[in-house]
Amino acid sequence: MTTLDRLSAEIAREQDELMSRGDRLTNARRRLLTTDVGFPRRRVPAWVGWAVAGTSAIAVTTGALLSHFLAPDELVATTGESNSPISANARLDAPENASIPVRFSDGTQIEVAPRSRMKVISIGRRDVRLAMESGHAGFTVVHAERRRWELRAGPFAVNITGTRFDVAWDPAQDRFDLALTEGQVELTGCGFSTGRRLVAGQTVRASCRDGSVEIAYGRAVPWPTESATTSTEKNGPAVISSSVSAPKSANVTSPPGSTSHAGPAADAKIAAGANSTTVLHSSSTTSQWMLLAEQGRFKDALAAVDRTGFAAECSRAQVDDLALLADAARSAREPQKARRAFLVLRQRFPDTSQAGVAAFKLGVLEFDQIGAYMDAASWFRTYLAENPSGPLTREARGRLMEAMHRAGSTDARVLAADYLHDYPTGPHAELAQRIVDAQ
Amino acid sequence: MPMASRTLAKLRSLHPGAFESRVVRLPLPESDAALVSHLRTDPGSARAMLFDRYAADVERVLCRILGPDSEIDDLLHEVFIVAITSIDTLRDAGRLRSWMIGIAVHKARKLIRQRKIRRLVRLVAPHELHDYEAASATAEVSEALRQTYRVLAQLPTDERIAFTLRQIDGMELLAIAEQTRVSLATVKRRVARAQKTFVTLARQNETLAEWLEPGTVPQ
Repeated sequence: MTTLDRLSAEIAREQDELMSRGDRLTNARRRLLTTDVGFPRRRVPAWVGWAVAGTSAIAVTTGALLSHFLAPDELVATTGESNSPISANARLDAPENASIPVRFSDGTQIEVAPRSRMKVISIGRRDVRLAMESGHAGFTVVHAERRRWELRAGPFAVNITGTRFDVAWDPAQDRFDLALTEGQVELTGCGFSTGRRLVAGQTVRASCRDGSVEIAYGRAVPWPTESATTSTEKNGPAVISSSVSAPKSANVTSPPGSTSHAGPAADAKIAAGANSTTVLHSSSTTSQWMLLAEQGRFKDALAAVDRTGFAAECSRAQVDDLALLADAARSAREPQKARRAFLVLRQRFPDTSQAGVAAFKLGVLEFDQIGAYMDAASWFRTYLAENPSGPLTREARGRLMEAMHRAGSTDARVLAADYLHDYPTGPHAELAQRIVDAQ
Repeated sequence: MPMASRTLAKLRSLHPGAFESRVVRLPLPESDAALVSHLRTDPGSARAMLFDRYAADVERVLCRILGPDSEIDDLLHEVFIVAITSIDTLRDAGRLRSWMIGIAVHKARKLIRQRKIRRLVRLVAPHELHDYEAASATAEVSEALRQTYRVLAQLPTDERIAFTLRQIDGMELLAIAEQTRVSLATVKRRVARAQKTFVTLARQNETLAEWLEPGTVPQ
């Protein structure tokens, strides 16, 4: 058997184990049986076809009538404390130190951040179209059947259903950012020509000029608070923030001839809870080490991180990136750095599932790379205490037993007996049996 | 009269009707041809049988080709929907299994190609590569699985499919030729090329390099 065959056999065994777990087939079966499958057509008499055609015509007519009568209510958009109405073609031009809140009669809220400009292209019963001309805005859109929301930002377009997200568009830098907090949106335009659906938790950074798109999960994305500044230093994160103070001179310009005016009341207060601080990591070094790590070039990845400072990256990275950094260090056989990254992760993100996994991986690290079996056992115990029925419970119990056995502890026998009882065919069962038999 | 017969006679007298002979209909497995016929006449009720018979095979083929992937659930569903809605196009009902696996291979290939196109325009960031909970006791095997499919993602699609079906799944070359609709010679060439490329790339990967050095396979 060649080394490639051995690797392939291990991969197949791992996959078989994964397939034997979980309930994918059960769910898939249920899904199939409840799906309205378009079964193959059967030949039907001609009269049936005519009957269907007639019925369809009636249905279409009825549908059109119903659609007219059941169309969503007319939308009214207002801004400011005095609820000044906003009409189509209005331009919302937020001043330096205040944002402009926009409220729609269906409950939808938009907040145009300081120094930002947004245009209301049209407000219809079925169709609302907006254009982000520059700056940032936060959206909380209430879903309504048969109503379509579209936000344009330069060459990009966001098709919105009920959802919550933040958008930033910088035409000078040709940079588009979107952070989706709830629901789904579809991005089109530029690199997204065929449409790209985004789900909650995803963030996008795109530039049409560079032809670049980055889509990530779980980056920090909340929204502005202090004076609107955008820092774009090469090696530091771009910080976007804005004020929550009441706008004093927000400029809402209605088109000539429009009957509505955003009067002085463009001084509305910002909707509660809409704002906080956004930090979007844009450092090229950051994305470079991630790319290297994802390619399996762990040592190169660590070298890239070291150029800007490992500790700094640990304190800056978000939870998923920090986990990736720790894994990269572990795979690069840099146990001290791996330990540090895992510990920082647990300290900075104590309530995440990644914190639990970090405890398990710290145990693996101490066991495999440092040979500190009691420390390893301590981490496996920590994982089990924090995740009594977590996905790695079986492995943690097996590893704990093995660590105690290697450390020469008599507790290993008790752990082995318990393991055999709960996982008689588990991957550590053979070792457990040997431990039980030997003592 | 033997004792057992006497006991039976006594029980019959106590519980008349309880021991009347009856035919119990056991669920006999239908042949593929019968299942296909059933699908053509009553797809609504036959789909469960089709799923029960081939879901595991389809899932395995998808997993082998794609590795840990969050879209396998959807593909699994799609394979059965395609099979049910196009059952009339199956010419040889006795080859149902092979046909089902062929659909799975086709679906997996389509997904890989779509992703490659998306990557060309950089629509998929590295963060979108899929993660999974480890199944094995050793982190090394889990990591090896992850890295194997990262390396496989760099292979041409058809070579990747031939490699995974042959090398990881152990499928016969003739069967692969049938599933991928190419000649046996082409499959052999693809597998050989894929093995060579995979080993070259894997040796540059820090995790997999250890596996491919004789005598250093992680335990």
